[in-house]
Amino acid sequence: MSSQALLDVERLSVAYPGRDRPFRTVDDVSFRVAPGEALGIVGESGCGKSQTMLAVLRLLPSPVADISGAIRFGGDDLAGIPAKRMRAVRGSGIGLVSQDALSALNPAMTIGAQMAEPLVRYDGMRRRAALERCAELLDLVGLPGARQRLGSYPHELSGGMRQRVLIAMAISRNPKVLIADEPTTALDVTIQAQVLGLIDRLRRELGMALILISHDLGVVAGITDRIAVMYAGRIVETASTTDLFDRPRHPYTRALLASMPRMDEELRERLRPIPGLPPDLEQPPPGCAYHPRCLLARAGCEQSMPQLVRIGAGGAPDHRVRCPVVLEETP
Amino acid sequence: MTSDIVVEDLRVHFPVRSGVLRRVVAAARAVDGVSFTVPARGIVSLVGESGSGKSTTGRALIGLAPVTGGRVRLHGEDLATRRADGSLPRLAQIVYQDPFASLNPRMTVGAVLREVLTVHRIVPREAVGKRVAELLDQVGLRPELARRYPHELSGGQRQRVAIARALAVEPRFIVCDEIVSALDVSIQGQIVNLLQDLRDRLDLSYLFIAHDLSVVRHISDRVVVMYGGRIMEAASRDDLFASPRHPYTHALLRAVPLPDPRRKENITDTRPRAEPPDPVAPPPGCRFQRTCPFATDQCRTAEPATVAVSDGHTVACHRHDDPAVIAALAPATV
Repeated sequence: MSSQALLDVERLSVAYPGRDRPFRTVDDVSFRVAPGEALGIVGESGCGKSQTMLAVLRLLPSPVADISGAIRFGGDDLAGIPAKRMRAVRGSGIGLVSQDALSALNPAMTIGAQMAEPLVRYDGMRRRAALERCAELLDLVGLPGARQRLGSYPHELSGGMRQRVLIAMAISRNPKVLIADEPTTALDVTIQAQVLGLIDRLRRELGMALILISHDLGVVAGITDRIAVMYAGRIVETASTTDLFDRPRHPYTRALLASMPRMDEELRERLRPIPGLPPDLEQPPPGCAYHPRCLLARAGCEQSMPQLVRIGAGGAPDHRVRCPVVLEETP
Repeated sequence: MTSDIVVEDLRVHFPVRSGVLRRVVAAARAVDGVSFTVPARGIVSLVGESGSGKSTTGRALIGLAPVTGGRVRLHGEDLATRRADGSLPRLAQIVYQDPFASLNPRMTVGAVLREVLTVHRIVPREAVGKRVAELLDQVGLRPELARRYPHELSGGQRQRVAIARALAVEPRFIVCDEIVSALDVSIQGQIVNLLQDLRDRLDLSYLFIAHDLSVVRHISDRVVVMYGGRIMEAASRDDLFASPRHPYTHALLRAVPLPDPRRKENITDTRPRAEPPDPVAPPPGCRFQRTCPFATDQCRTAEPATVAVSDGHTVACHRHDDPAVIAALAPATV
């Protein structure tokens, strides 16, 4: 596995100076993505999923955010390379699609001008050839009237169209990994379905790896191979996508699945939300961060943070969980 | 059954102005002939995508968008009468998606609630403090939170405060405009359960405006589906989800992401759909014609009538009784 990892993040932590003492938004996060693999990172607001990706792309405010750990990509440790090399990695190595296309696009530049800019600057393409490539990309992402759209401004496009433009920009320099951070959260449900389908199709056609970040287990279920569930800055469970949905082990994963109203289930009298609130990262509870909301919590859970431990036999797909209580269950 | 809210042929047209004189040159028909009722203690959901007119409809019901045609009756009286005599805010309230934007950041939770109680003279001055504590208790918040500012609260807590503020005037009807959309899944259920409890305890009725159909399926008695300012389909919750009869409803249901890796019907890389119709110049015929896979020449020329396909189930589609279309639409889920 390690030999074929394209992106190998090991023990990544992000700390900020707090009011009283430093606190961590990402804590000891490790994951690997193989070429062509699709990884989903799931969790609620403040769990650290976006912070993890911003750290990987070195887009966090650098002297303030204290980043530790290794981010190995293509023989480099991204944490240590010069800023100029990092700029080359963004786009050509790792592409990013963010949630809010309206703020990710420059409102004063035409679609064509902002799409062509990196192709001219980093790939040395002639402007005319770059615009030609942009038209092809817009066609690839299914923007109707692609060539005419090069002259449009972002505000002239609908939300779904803007998201397609953002995806076209992210793949324009043939990245090996595409990071999509809540790419469909701002979209209507029918448009969301198309954009997810588009991302899935492009990943297969272009052989990219994908990291899809979402708060919605329904969004990641259909198009990922593996899922990592995060809570309060840490990965609490990771498994193959089918295994995670068939045999969720961590109490948080189970509670999250149980809390969703589902279209494919009998109606219930009442929804089953998770009691309480996620912890304040500046003042995390001692021990396991989930124990104050956990139905299985027992004496000891508040004492020390459990390790992420592999479960099952060696031949089984890699399934890890950060909870000693469920490890004692008979499978 | 008595209906709290009766909406008949509601139209909300906004003027489109142009030129130096800002003359009205056209009208944007945000809501264009919408009829439905909300029964006492009923929860009616209004679903549809951006631009469908669902939020404008909700705003019109509480007097925040101009009613340019049709009529709205609240508890037996005309909306205009209710507005004129000042009884509207006491009867109908609204809670928005983003409580951070709808709560004054410089007022404590207690001050927000006290202001409403005082302005509307809900309780005698000396009873205001006690009533604030009761309101917080009603929405599941501890009384100490009265001293906090909105930024000190979590998203779910802020939404509870917004609900408490709406409850302060003791309304009969609340428009809930995407009120759980911005909340985390684990918290959404807390607010949905709270809404159901409050309905039972205070005999409220809700217009629940939402785009998340899995939440809508859970909370609603009836569902009204809008597109391009018109109602495409309306039915009881069970009928609508079990046997949708409009192609648009079917498309909405199919698009809901299911937390099941073996179900991939929500991932449809169809080419992008046509944009919703231009509210200034909607096409002749059905509003959904440009996206509809079943559209015929008739759909491009004649507006479909709203017909009842069963008791309480109406649909506006020329091909609603075409066996080929019915077969293609069922079953949508499960």
